[in-house]
Amino acid sequence: MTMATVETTAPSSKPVKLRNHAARDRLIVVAAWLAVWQLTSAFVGAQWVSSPVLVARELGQWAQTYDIYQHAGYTLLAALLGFVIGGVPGMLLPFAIRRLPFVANTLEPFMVAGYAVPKLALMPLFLIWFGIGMWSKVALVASVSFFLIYFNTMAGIRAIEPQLVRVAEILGANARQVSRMIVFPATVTFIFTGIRVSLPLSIGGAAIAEMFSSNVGLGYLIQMSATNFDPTGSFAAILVLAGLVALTNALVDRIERRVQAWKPRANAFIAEGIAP
Amino acid sequence: MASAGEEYGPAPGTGSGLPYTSKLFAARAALLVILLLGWHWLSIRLGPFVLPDLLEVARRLLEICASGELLSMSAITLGEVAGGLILGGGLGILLPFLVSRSPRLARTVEPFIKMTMGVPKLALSPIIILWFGIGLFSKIVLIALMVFFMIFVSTFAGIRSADIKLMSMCRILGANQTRLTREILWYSALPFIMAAIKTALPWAINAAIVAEFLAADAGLGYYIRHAYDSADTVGAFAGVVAVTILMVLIDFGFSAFQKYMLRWRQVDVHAVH
Amino acid sequence: MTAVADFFEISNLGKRFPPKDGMSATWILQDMTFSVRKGEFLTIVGPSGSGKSTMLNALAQIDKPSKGEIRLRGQVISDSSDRMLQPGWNCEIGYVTQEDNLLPWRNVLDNVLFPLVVQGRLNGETRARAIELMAAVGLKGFESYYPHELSGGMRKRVALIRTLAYDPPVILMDEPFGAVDAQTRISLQTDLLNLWQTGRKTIIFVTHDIGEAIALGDRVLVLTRSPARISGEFPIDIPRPRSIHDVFAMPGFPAIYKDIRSKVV
Repeated sequence: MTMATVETTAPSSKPVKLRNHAARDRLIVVAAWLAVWQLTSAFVGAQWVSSPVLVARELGQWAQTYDIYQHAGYTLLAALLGFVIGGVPGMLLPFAIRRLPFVANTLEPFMVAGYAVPKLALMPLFLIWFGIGMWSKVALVASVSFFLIYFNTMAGIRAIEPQLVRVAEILGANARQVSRMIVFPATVTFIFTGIRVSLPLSIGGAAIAEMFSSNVGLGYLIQMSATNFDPTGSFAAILVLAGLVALTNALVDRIERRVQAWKPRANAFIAEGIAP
Repeated sequence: MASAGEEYGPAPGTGSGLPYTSKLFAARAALLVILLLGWHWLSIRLGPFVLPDLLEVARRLLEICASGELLSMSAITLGEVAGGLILGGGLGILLPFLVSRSPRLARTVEPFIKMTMGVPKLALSPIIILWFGIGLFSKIVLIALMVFFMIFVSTFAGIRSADIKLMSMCRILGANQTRLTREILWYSALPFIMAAIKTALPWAINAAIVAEFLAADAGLGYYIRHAYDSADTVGAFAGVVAVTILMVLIDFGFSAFQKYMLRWRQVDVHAVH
Repeated sequence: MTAVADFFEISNLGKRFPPKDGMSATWILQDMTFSVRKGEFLTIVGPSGSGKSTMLNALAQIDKPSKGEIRLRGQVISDSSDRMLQPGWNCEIGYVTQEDNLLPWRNVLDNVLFPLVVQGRLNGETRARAIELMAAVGLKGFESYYPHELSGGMRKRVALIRTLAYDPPVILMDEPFGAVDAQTRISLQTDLLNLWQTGRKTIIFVTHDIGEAIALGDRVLVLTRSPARISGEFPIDIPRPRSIHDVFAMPGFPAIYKDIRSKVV
């Protein structure tokens, strides 16, 4: 698998004037939305809906103290740990059973059922099993990631043209080589789709787990602020959460671009992600 | 090549004489039995607080089924789901048709929608509960929010996928703009919409459960939470099992509906599932 | 005073596609001039890739000409100016495309009735006529089938009678029988000639098959390769009604075939 550094992006065919219009239009939309929010706050009261100004101020304050980094770091760490602990087996399992279609078919309904179980409802159990610290949150995230990544990777494996595999075998590749050189690269797109869907969900999942039982983390902040009738704090924390998601998405995009340099970029707006 | 949910790969002459589907059924049944036995054994080893006994859970499940409690709780949760789907899904289907009439509007809005896709809507539940209380309506709003984006994106992609040649053909045959929209854009988007709803359903149910878990006074999620708070792990597990079965049933039912609505399509094994 | 002869006039029609990725713009059609009489069956032959479909797209008003103009009954309906395209020109120009372009979500009957419904002309009479057409091409009994359940040949027939069902005075046909087996093709050609003869429509029929062009047409135009021009015009003297089976054996056929063949490069 070669790692090219050349990025393949479709040449922009829009005339420059049009592109600037789009950026300007978006700015207008953002400005309008902020204005509406501020006005609503004036009418309904900042204690209900907060306001852009208040949230911005809160974020500024947070940036200066160190607490927010602790909260954000906690949530991010729980999300990443859970994502890896759940996602890696979820990714490897389809490869392991690739040559055992019977096993894959037998497992299918169990995987679907496992995906259907509302994991948050198992949170109290996770607390009992893993204690009230970070590991219960990690467990929640891992249980969600496992199934998501499994389904996406499985879809990728199933999409591989059987001919490619057969040709490789005829050319003398053994099972491991086929796995590594044909199956894996072809599946990578689907794996990345799975990652792109799972990562935000992992971060969100970690936050939600914290809402249930935690005294640290962004989810805890959101929950606690709401309970204290402080929507400003909630919104600020939600923004930080969204920021985390955006950061990780951008990172995944960069990594994917390098890994998938040979592929033309897909349309940005096509619905992504696979779930049963 | 098979789609998720169907058998993958042929069974080339396995030689033992039994048809494939029977063997598959037997294998799945065997796996189920092993898992249930494992559960039973673990629950004895770890004690009822850590893992409730399988038989107890089954018994409780039958109890709440017979007493009608299961039905009334499910009705509430499903009501929230339906409300959210109608609100969020309705808007999610309608708006793309309006937005796609103006390419400029579509271009402007696109990155914002994409951005909000990443934000976990469930993380907004405390705010929504703050605004709308712990009753049904807050759950409906939450589910609507979650479902809206999923369905909007898919519907939009579906509209974009409309075959231009088909549209030209219909113009020649005499169709006007409204007709074109109604007919071609709608049916082109329909498979995408169906796939999006199929994906959104489990998320919607999950969101309802999570929201009820955090703050509610009725519904399946509330029942599970209440059971935990009363140290009634058996009841909680029964609730979890009930929700799982519900999700699977609804998924099944919707698949059938989806197949009917899209009966005019060739079976496309790579279709967005 | 417009001559009775010229129903459809095409003058200096040219079409080029905008430059792509560093390549310069290529002219697909170059200065095409010809006219069609009312009720004439005109066939156009050309090698593959000669821009035949592009020309028909311009005539059907799906594409705008880069130069030249198109007149119907003496009135300019399409030129390179900024006027809006009107595909089908108010349902006066029918178009049977190479791909059948059937609506996949409608069954056969609904597909055939579609133009009538959309034009608000569906009544007992038009409906009966549509059903007659279905029977005429052997599709009776397939009314409730969906396009994906039909063979390629059957889909082509549906596409054909869909256009015939609403009776446009001019019909453009782009290799409609290309992807169909020989037997089906002969029966479809026979059906087409019958329907044309009874309806006296004006048909512009594009094909790469010289034999088919001679067998069907009153006149054969020959196109060159892209950039396409008219390189020859051959009136066909074979008397009507013609039998597709026998037309190849008629006197004069081999000579015309050779002439046309030599023009098609």
